[in-house]
Amino acid sequence: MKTIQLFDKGVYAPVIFLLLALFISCEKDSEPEKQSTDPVEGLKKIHEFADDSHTVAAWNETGEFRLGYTKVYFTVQDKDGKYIDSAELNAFPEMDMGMMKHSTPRSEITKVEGKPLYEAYYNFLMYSGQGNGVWYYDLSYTVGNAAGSFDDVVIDVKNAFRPDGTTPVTIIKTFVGTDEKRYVVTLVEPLHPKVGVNDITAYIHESKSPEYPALEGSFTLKLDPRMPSMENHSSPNNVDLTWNAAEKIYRGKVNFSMTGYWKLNLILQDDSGNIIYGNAITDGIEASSLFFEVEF
Amino acid sequence: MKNKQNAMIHKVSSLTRMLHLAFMLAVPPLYAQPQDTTKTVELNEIIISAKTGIHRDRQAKPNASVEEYLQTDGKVGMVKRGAYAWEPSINNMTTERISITIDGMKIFHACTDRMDPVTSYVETVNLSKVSLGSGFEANPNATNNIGGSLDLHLNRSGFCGDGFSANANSGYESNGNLWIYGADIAYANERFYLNSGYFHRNSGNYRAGGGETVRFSQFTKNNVFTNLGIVLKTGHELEGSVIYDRAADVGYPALAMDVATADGLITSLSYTRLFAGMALTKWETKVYYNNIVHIMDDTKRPPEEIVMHMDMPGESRTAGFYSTLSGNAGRHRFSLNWDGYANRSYAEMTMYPADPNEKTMFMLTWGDIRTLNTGLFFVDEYQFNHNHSLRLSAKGSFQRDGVNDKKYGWNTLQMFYPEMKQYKNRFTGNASARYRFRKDSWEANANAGYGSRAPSGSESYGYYLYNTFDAYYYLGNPNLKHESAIETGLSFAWKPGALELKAEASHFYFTGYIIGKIDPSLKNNGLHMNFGEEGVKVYQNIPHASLLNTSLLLKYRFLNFYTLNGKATYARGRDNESASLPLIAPFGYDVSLRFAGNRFVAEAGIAGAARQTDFNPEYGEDETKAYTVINLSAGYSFRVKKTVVNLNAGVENLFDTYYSTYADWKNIPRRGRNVFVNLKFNY
Ligand SMILES: [Cu+2]
Ligand SMILES: [Cu+2]
Repeated sequence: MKTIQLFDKGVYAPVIFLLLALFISCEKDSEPEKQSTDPVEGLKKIHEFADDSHTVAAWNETGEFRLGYTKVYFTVQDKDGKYIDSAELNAFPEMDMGMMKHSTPRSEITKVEGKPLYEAYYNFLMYSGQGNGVWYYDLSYTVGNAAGSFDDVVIDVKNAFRPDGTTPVTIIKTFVGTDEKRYVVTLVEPLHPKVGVNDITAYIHESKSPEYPALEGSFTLKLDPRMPSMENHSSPNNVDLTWNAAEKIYRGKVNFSMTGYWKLNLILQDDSGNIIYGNAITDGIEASSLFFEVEF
Repeated sequence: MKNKQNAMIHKVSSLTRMLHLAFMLAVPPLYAQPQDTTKTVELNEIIISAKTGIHRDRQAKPNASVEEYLQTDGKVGMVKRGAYAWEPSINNMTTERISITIDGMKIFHACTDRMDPVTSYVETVNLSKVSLGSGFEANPNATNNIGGSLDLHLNRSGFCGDGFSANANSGYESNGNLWIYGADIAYANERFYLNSGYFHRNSGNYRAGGGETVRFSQFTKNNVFTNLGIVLKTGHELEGSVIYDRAADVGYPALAMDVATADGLITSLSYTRLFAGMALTKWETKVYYNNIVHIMDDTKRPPEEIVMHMDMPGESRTAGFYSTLSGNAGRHRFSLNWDGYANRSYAEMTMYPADPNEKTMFMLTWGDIRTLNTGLFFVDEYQFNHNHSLRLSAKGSFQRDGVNDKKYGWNTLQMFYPEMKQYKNRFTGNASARYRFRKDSWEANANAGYGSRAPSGSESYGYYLYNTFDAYYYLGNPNLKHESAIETGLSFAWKPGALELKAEASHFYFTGYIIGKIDPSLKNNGLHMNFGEEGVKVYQNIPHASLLNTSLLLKYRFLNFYTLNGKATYARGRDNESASLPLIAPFGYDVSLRFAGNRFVAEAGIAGAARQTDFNPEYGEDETKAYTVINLSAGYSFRVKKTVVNLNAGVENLFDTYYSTYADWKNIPRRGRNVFVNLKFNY
């Protein structure tokens, strides 16, 4: 009489291994982010100026100024290289086009909480060389009693292109609305567009050169993203951009059902739903007069 | 001596083999089957490869494709999108509702557009037979099946003292200029076997009845396989198999794209323990792995017919195991099976815009869908006495599935389902009972079952799946609930001597039937691609649906050499609004007269279907006309020294009738008149 040996063969080990191997990658946990002490980690230096007492530098993710929304961080260091977190900074960019000068929509330079870092954005209306214009700014700082200024610093604002590197991309738009006012609408996010749900943010400024006051609230940007290369199909469940008081920006959701070239068609409406600028897409009208381009 | 005894036990009492003892539709058995009451007819069997040597049972068209063999069974249908890779249905249910395994191995197609049912990755030469389970009375390894199961049995030499043997065969079919070549060799003794072979099929475009060429219906297929078995010591068997199958340049006239290559690698290793003189007779454990890579291709189509060039590769990988314990105790015959598998299904779509400077459009239509499934199956057959028997079976399965790719998979689905979790756990199962009564020449069966299935990967997580049949894009729905069904069946058979009559009916009542329904919000709101398609359908559970399958079979043997076979089938499927379910066969019939002498066989058949009146335009169906086709075939065998030569020839669709059936995708016509010749050498 034989006994039945049920589990002596080790047959199950490779099986379990196989099943684990197939499934293990599903269960990966994202690694916790390391807390860094370097305030400019991950940022590239755009330029840097020094006087007898301090060094002021401008930074951002790409290391350059670019047409449209450009985020810039500043640092102030003393002679020992120590980062100062109690400085006050000011910069006023201007474009000199020979016959005229103009500035651009921008924010004040404010302190980044928790870091010896200062931030601002500039929504450049034009790139350097466009209409033979030259961009420059006066960059001034105050640290306690010390103060300094770097004047007429030329800044090189690059043109913005689609991924092919040669076709300009629409990411900022100036227009006269139905109320006869001049507006500037600037696309901010998605900075890193991806398939699926994306945050979309934008600034609306009124153009009263030399000032460009931010229009905070009381507008809506209706959103209709389209893919012109695919018979102008849309995507589902997009959310129009409305004022987010906490972040001081217009915020919505844009969904990309695939990678590629997307036209984000917009209609600027006031509180009562009056169309200030832009148009709906209907048969025969493939785009709004107000649109931005995203390609990835 | 002991060795021999074990071999006997192996042959006679292994449950699985007995389960497949058969009623053969394709081939009438020459000699009466032993009326051993302990043997029960469990699952239908379809004999795939013709027996070697001079034998009256050999088939008139031995080089037929796997699909051609399968559709000889009344319960099996074939959905056709071209000349190659037909999609099997059982009880009028296709891929999602049936389970197809190869020697118990799970294998899943890699094409989002159903171009590659898994039966397309094997060849006739790989297989010996197919076990067909109807409804919940399925193969032990079947999972998520409602309609039934197919288990394709590999053609292993087995441990027998046959020594060395070789086969070579070739065939030609006039319609489409189809060439077939194959060769296989085998060596077997009682402790070792090895068989290996190669098979090749190559066809140009076929012609429909009347002579019109069906463009993009060509295909080429190559298949190699090796099976190996070793008796480690008496009662301990180790068996392995490898199949590599590659189809290339396959046209799909009913679809917008063709296939550049479809590769299947199917491997397994099994260990079988045979027990002598005990209640347990056999314990088989297998591990397996298969990998399917499917590359679609639109570059062979005329540019003016292509809206946009696309790349659509897909891949499906499955690893798994099963362990089956079989035995007899008193009047019980039982089997216990534990199985598990993990599958990943991945499919891309890259679209090339007209402007070459523009970025390509990319998405995952299967976002690395993962399925982990494990189940326990039990079946027991109890023979009360000579007349009564009862079969009980049950299976419970746990399944975890989800979309592993976050970037292109989960993220995209979250546009539609913001609350969607990445993975889901599910429990499914089924239970069924069959009571059988046999007396004199009468046999009656009554069966009932209840079970559920998890939604398929496409149904849960499919993204932008274009269905050319109804011209809708399909979107998966991760919130789908299980589809469940109650199955009831009755059959009566009367076999007085040379006559056999059998009437059978099965009914399925579904709750939560899963089907794509139009979602108008998505048309306005934009999943819609606007390429002339109708809109978007989303898979949903409709409250209920029903499906009735009926068949009548007749077999009459007369004058020693003649057999008359008749088969009529009718089915009806309805959704909750009493509208027809898609792809349900109308009334169909098949009558053949066969002469089988010692060396000569001949067969004349007439097959057809009535007009399809129950169709549903909502699913892209239209009325299909009635048709009748006539087929003739003959075969002759002779011996030249030690070599047996089989010569077969025939005509299909004798009158070159132009027709298409309810299951022909977009009404593509079937083959017109086709003359075939097969030549086979057995050594
Ligand atoms: Cu697209
Ligand atoms: Cu395909």
